[in-house]
Amino acid sequence: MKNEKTELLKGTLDLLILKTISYEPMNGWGISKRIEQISGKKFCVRQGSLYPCLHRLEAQGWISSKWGASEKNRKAKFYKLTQHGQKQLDKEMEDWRHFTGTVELILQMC
Amino acid sequence: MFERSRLIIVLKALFQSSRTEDELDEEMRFHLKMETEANVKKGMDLKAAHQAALRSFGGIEQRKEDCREAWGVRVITNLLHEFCLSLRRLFRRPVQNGLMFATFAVSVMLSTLSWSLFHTMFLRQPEFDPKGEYLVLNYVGGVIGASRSSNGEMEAYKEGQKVFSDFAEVGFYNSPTIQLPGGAERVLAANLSARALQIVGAKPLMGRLFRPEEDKRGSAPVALLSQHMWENSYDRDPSIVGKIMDIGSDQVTIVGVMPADFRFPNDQDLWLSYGFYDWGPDAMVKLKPGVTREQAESNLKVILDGLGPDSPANRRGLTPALIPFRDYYLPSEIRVSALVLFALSLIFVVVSCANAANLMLIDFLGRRAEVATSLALGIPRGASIRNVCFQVTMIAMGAVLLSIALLPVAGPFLYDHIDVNLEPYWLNYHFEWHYVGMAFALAGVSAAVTVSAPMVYLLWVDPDKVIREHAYTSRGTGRTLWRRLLLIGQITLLTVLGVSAGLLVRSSYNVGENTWGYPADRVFVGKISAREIEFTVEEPLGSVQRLAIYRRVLDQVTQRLETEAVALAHFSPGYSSGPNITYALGQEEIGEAFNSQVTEGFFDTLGVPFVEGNTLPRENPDDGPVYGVINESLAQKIWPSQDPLQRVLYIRFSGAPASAPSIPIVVCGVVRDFQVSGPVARNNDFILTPLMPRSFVRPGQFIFVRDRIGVPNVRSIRDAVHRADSRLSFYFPSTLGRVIDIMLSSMHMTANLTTVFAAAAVLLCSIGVYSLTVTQVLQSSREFGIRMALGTEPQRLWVHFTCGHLLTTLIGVLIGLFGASQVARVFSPLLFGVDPYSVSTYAMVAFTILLVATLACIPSFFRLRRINPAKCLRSL
Repeated sequence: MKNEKTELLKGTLDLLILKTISYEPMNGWGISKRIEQISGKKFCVRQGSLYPCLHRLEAQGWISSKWGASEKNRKAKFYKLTQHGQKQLDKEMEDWRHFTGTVELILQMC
Repeated sequence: MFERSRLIIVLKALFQSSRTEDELDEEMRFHLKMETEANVKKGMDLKAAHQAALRSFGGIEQRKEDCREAWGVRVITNLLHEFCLSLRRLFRRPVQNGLMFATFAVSVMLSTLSWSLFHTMFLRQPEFDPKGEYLVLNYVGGVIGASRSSNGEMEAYKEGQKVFSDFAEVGFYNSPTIQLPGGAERVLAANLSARALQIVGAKPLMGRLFRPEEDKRGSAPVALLSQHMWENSYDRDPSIVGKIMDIGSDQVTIVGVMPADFRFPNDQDLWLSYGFYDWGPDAMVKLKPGVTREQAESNLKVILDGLGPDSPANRRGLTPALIPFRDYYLPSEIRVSALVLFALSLIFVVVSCANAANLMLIDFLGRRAEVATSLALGIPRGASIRNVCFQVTMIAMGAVLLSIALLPVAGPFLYDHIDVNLEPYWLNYHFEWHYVGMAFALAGVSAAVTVSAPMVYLLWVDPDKVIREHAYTSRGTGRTLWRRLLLIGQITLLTVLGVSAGLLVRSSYNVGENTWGYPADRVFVGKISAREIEFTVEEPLGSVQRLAIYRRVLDQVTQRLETEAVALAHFSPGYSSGPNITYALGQEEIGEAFNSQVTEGFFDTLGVPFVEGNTLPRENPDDGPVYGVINESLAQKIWPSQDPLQRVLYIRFSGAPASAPSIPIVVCGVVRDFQVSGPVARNNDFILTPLMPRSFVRPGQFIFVRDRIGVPNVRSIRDAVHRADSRLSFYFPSTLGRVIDIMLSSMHMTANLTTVFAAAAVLLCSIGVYSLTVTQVLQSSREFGIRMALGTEPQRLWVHFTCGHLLTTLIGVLIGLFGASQVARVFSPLLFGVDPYSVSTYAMVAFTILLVATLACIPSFFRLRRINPAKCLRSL
């Protein structure tokens, strides 16, 4: 199995961020590392594109932010899922499952 | 929720931008530190680890920009930056932008005021009837002045009608004489039914309103006092309710006092119950749903026909008519003035827009190089257009704010100068929010039109070409034709306005005090009435006794130390409406004149000198000839180059039956001509005869008093009248000047406002000429520069092209003079003593406009001198 990092599919970053912070509030660096870690370093989150995405999600009201202390007692901004964000996450997960299921079906049938 | 979170972020980014930026910076630094530490753990040295972290992050500033983009405030901050830039540019050209501001402010202010007047005259409904549903039941046709119902007819309409959902009887005008502790006084009153008071939303300050049973004829009369009357005539008597007031021989119970803000239909002193009214009532009615006015009028006509040919209205040939309450109460000539002014103000807005657009264009042509360079450097045209929009919008908004700020001053000032006799209560300045809306709308339209010219320029301009040709020394574009046409249009409008204003002002002056032939402002005029005095059976008409009472009045007033002259007359100058007699030398009538019975001191009181002969005799014997005083022009007309004294002429009252004999008059005096009749009457020939029992001394007489110094004091004259006989009523005290002002209010208002518009038009016109000449200098700078390099003096160049503009102005003036002559022909009935084609007025206006145009060309001379001939030559 090749150990190559894969670019995220367009539009999936929102879903991954929402899912990642659904367990606990996390800072931006932590989110990128968590996604890499869970994906077995297969997914590479472009660090530059992570922050605009976080700010956009915050502006949409799906996540909220709060300054706090990191593990190493450094000042960091932590993001957590809001109630609306949870609904949005559920919807996006449903959409994703439907999408991947349909793609899988096509791949099997053709 | 989403919108709120976005709003919070936007507000934070806008108003706590440094804090937001710091937080963004800190967040990214944290990320880089963490990444660097991770890289160090992988074995990199610190510097390399940091570099790697930076590389993987991909440019901090770019990421920050992406984040700002995500906040959605980029557009707003960009707009804010552009706004600040426009603001700075605004103050860099104070003269030009100041002129544009003045243009906008004048047109918006005048238009908003005109709109307010138009709205009041045509659209505003009385507060009690916001939908304008109430109509006044009245008559049309028949004899003028006889259009009033009889009580019987009104009752028949009320009982028989099937078309009204509301019917309230009213007597809009009544002028009873009441007995007060200081003597009899005549006051302005109205008779209202209980329902009418309910309709207008009356609420008493104390006491109660009228009851329905008090509407019935024969019921005990009751009255409501105005707060003014309660305070001034009853000294704020707290137990006024229930007291009795004497009106003629009737005793009226005061049932309440109305607050000062209750004014219906005018500034009444007193309201009486409808049952106590027997002089041509009206009614306020409301149509049933689905019934048209025509159907209702037909229904009333059927009822009237049913009353038979002997009913008063049928005898006079009158037809019932339903008139909207507002129209019933507003004179039509005032409404015409309002309409004309509103139309004028809209034309003004158009002209000011064109001027402002031209001024903006000058700005762009003046800095073509700068504009072209910025476009060539990649600044989007959209940004430049937005910049222009911001500038114009700020100027327009400034003008609107100034107009709105001045409205509370200018509005009441305008309305105070509208003098209407028995002014309806709602004809006053009343701020309404749509005035502000109108000001913003007009400014918005003006701004939109103004930005169109620079926008077109920005869209069409080719920066490369401008830079190649060097903006400073560009060739003349020759595209001034449309601007010249615009200028011609403005000058035409200004000329029409100027001539109209000139004619109206002259006309106004002609009917002013100086040409009346007497000092109207110094002559007190009032009315006294012996109507309430009953006379003996031997002399039922009371002429002898009345004359004796009036003589006592004259004596009492003469005894005042200040009195210089005093007189009585049946008609008053200012109130009268023209000739009322025909005169003849033999059998054949040869002309019309005005007649009034006056006492001998009449001419002295008015200060009119005698040309020949003397005044009327104090006692004109009943068996002797009737003496008369005539005016100089009439004497010349009847007996040219002859002595008119002691000659006889015959007069007959207009409308007298043919069988009535003519009355011989012996001329005892001739006085200088003066305006004896109405304010705008053309025929002022008069034959004044003495007040004598033989020709019936009427119960009501005008009293005229002139003091040695100043205007007579009303109270002292009233006291003198009441000393002569306390039963006399004394009312409507004023001065002849004031009477004339009211009669001429419409004419004065039109003249004054037209003058204001003409003055504003001069301002707009001068801006128009200025912008045109400066534009030409800017456009033809290269041509002028080369000419100067070849030795032509700037003065000669300026004179040359100024002559061209003056020629344009002259064309506009000539067209305008023609237009003005046509307009003057239309409003010639409004002119008094002025030829609508008065050469001097036309010449003066033309001269003024040409002078203003010449002065407006002067700034272009300085622009011309700033052209550098050497640069122009280098550009060849």
